[in-house]
Amino acid sequence: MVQQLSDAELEIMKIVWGNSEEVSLFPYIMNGLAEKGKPCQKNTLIVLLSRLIDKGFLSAKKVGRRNEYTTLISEMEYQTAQTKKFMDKIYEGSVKGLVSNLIFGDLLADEEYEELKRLLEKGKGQQ
Amino acid sequence: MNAVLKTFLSMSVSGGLLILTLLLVKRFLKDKISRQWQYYIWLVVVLRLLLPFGSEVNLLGKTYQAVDQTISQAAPLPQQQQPPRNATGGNLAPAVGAERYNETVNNPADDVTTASPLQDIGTLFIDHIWLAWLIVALGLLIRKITIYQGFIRYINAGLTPVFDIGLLDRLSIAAKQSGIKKPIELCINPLVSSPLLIGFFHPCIVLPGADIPEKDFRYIILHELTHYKRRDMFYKWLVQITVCLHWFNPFVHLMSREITKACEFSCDEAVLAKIGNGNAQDYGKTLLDAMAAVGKYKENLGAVTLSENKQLLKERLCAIMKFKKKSTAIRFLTGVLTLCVILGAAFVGVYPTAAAANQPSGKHSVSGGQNSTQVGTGEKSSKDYSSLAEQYYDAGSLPLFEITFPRLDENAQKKWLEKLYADGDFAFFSVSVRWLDTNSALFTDFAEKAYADDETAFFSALTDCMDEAELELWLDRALEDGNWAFQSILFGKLNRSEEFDEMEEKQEKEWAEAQAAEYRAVGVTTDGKDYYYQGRLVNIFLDIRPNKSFYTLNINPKGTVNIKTVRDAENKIAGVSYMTEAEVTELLGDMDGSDDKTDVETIPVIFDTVAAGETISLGEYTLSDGDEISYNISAETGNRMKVFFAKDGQEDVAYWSVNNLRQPGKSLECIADFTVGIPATKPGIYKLYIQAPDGALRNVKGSVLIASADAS
Repeated sequence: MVQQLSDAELEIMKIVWGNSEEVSLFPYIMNGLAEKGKPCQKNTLIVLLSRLIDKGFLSAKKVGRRNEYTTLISEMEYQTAQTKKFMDKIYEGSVKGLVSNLIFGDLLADEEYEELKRLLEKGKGQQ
Repeated sequence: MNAVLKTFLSMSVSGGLLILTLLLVKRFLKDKISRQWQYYIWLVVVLRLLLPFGSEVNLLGKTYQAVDQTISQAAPLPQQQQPPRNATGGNLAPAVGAERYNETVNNPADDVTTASPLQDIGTLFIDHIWLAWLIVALGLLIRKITIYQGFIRYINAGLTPVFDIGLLDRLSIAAKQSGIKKPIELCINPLVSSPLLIGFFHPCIVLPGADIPEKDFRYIILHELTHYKRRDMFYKWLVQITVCLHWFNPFVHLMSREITKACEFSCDEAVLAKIGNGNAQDYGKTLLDAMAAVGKYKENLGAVTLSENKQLLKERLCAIMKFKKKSTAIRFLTGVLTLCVILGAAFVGVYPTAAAANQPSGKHSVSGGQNSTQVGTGEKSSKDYSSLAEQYYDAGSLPLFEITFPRLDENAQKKWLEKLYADGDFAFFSVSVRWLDTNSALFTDFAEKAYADDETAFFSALTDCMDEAELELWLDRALEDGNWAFQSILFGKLNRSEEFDEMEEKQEKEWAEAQAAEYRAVGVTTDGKDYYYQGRLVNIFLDIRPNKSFYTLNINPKGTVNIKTVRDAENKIAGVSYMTEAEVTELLGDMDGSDDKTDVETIPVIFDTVAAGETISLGEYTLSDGDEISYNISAETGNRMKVFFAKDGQEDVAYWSVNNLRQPGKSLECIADFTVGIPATKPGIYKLYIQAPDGALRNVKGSVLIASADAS
C-alpha cells in the first residue's frame, strides 16, 4: 500500500524522480527546492527525507560521509496509486465515470482527446 | 553477597547525608545560586549513590571514626520494623571504623549460633535479604520502563508529523542557534496536554496542536531543545535507576523530586539567558497557556514536558520573574560550594559500619513516587486561575497578578475589583483595570462608585481606559457638580489641562478676593503678603476653619501684634482676637518642638529619583522601647510612596509603615509619628526603607527623625 505524501514531501519526491542519475545527493535536492522557489533549512530537509524513508519512498545509503538517496517507488506507481484512490473516492472505482467526466467536463484539449483515443486503441490492440 | 549489600547500604547512607546537606544549602541560597548549579550538583550525589569508590580513605581513618559516630547519631534511621530482625538486632556489632569487608564483625548472622528455630529463620532472612532488595529494585525498574513504554505507545498512536515547512524551518533555525546538529522531528498529538520531548537518539518534539502563536512556538521550542541539548532524558533515567536501587531510602525519593523541579528551573533559566531578561513576562505567559489543559495522561515519567504540574509552575513563574544574571561573587561562591560537595562526596566515602548495616530494608515506599500531582482534566482553567490570583495577591506579586487577571472570567474579575477597591489596593486595582474588555460594564460601575465615594485615585485609573466621548460625559458631570478634583483629572486625561489651569486660576483669584473681603469685614487688611490689623503690622496671623481642614497662617517677624480669627458656628468669621502668650508658644513650639532635643537622630532623605517598584534602604537603626519615629518626606511625582522599617532579610514585613497615595492636586507626602513599644512592636535593629510601589518618585525630599526615649 503506497502511503500518502504531504505537499512538501511530494515536492522532494518530484525532484528525486526528475533526477536523471540513479541516486540523488543531498545538495541536489536542496538546490532543486531552491530552484522551485521553495527553499528550506537543512535540518528541515533531513527531517522530511527521513519521513520519506519511513514511508518507504526512499532508501538511503551512507557512502563516506554523505547519504545517497534512491527511490523505492516510481513516479508512475505513485500516480497509479493516487489515481486509484481518487477514483475510489470520487467515482466509486468507475473508470468510465472518470473518463466521461474528463470528456464532458471539457477538461481535455482537442489534441489531448485525440491522443487519448489513440492510446485507447493501442491498449486494446495489446490485450 | 551481603557484603555487597552492606557496601551498598553505606553508599545509601552517605548519599542520604549529602542529600540532606544539599537540601539545607538550597534552602538558604535558593535564589542566590544559579539554577543550573542547583540542577547539576545533584549529579555528584547520584554518582555517590551509584559508584562504590572511596576505599582508599582508610588513610583518613580517624576522621572516619568521627564521621561514623555522627552518622550513627544523625542518620534518622527508621527503627527496626521486622520482628525477625529484632531477634538478632541486639547482636549487631558496634561501629567498626573504616574497614570495609569485615565479614566476621559485621555479619550479625555469624554471631547467632544458637539453635532456636526462630533465630534460624531470622538468620536465613538476613542472609537472603539482599535478594529481597534486588527483586524489589528490579521490579521497580521494570515497572518504570513499562510505564514509559506505555506512554510512548500512547503518544505514538495519535502522532501526526507537522507538514508546515514554515514551522519546520523555524525549528531548524532555533536548533541551529542552540547549537544542536541533529535534526529534530516535530509532531502533533492532540492527546498530549502540554508540549514535550520524547526519544533519546531520535528526538521528537510533540505539540498538542499546531495552532500556536509565533512567539509561544519559539519559547516552547527553545525550552524543549534546551532539554535535549542538556540530555535531560538521560539524567532523568539515571535518577530513576538510582531511585529503583535505593528504593528503601526516603531521601533518594526526596532527591528525585528535587531534581525534577531543578530540571525545569534550570531549563527556564537557560532559556531566559538566551531570549533575554526583557522577555521573561512573555515566557511566563507561554508557560501559563501551556498549562491551561494539563494532565490527560501521567506524562511526566521519562519524557520532558514543558509544564510538569501546577505547584511547580507557580514556583517557576516566580523564579522567571526574579531571573537575573549571577554576579561574579556568586559565581565564586558557587565554585567553592561545588568543591565542597564533591569533596564531601568523596570524603563521606563508602564504609560498611554497624550504623549502615542497621538500615532496615523495610521502608515501605514502594510507590515509586513518580506520578505525583497530575491534576484531573476538565473545565478548571478559570478556577485554577482564580486560586493562582489569590496566591499572587497574598504574596503581593503585582506582575504575576497582572498576568493572571485577564484569564479570569468576568464574574471573577468583578469580584476581584470589588475586593481591591474595598481594600483600597490601588496598585493592584489599576493594573487589573487595564485588562478589562474595552466595553465592559465594570468600567461604568466602578467609575460611578469611585465618583460617589470621592476616590480620585481609583477614578483616575479607570479614566485611563475610557474613550474621549465617555471622558467628556464625565467632565460635564463634574463641571455641573462643581467637583474640583474630578474636573482636574478629566481635563488632564482629555489633554485640556490649560483650560483647567485657567479655570483654576480664575477660581483661585475669586477665592482670594472673597477671602480678602471677609478679612476686611473684621478689620484685617492685606497688602501682598503683609497683614495689617488696626493699622499695625501683624506678626502672627492665624485663621483656622472649624473642621481644621484648612488654615491660613502668616508669620511676619517685623509685625507687632498676634491675632487670630474667631469663627462662628456657620463658619463665618465673626471677629478677630489677640492671641494669648500661651497660644503663641503652643503654636510655635509645635513647629520646632523637636529641634531642641539633642538626642534626636536625623536621617535626611534626598533622592532625585526612586525608580518605579524600587525599594531603597536608608541604613540600619537600633530602636528601643519608647523611641519616637517621625517621618516627613515628600515627593514631586509618583502615585504612591511607602516608608517603613523592616528586619533585615524580611522586607515584606513592614513596621511603622506609611503607605500614602497621591491625592490629585496635592504633593505626595508621608508624614507620620510613631512610638516604638510593646505589644504592637518590638525594639530591635531595623532597616529603614523607602519604596515607590506605583510610578517613579522624583525629587524626594525630607527626613526621618528618631528621638530616643531614655535620654529624655
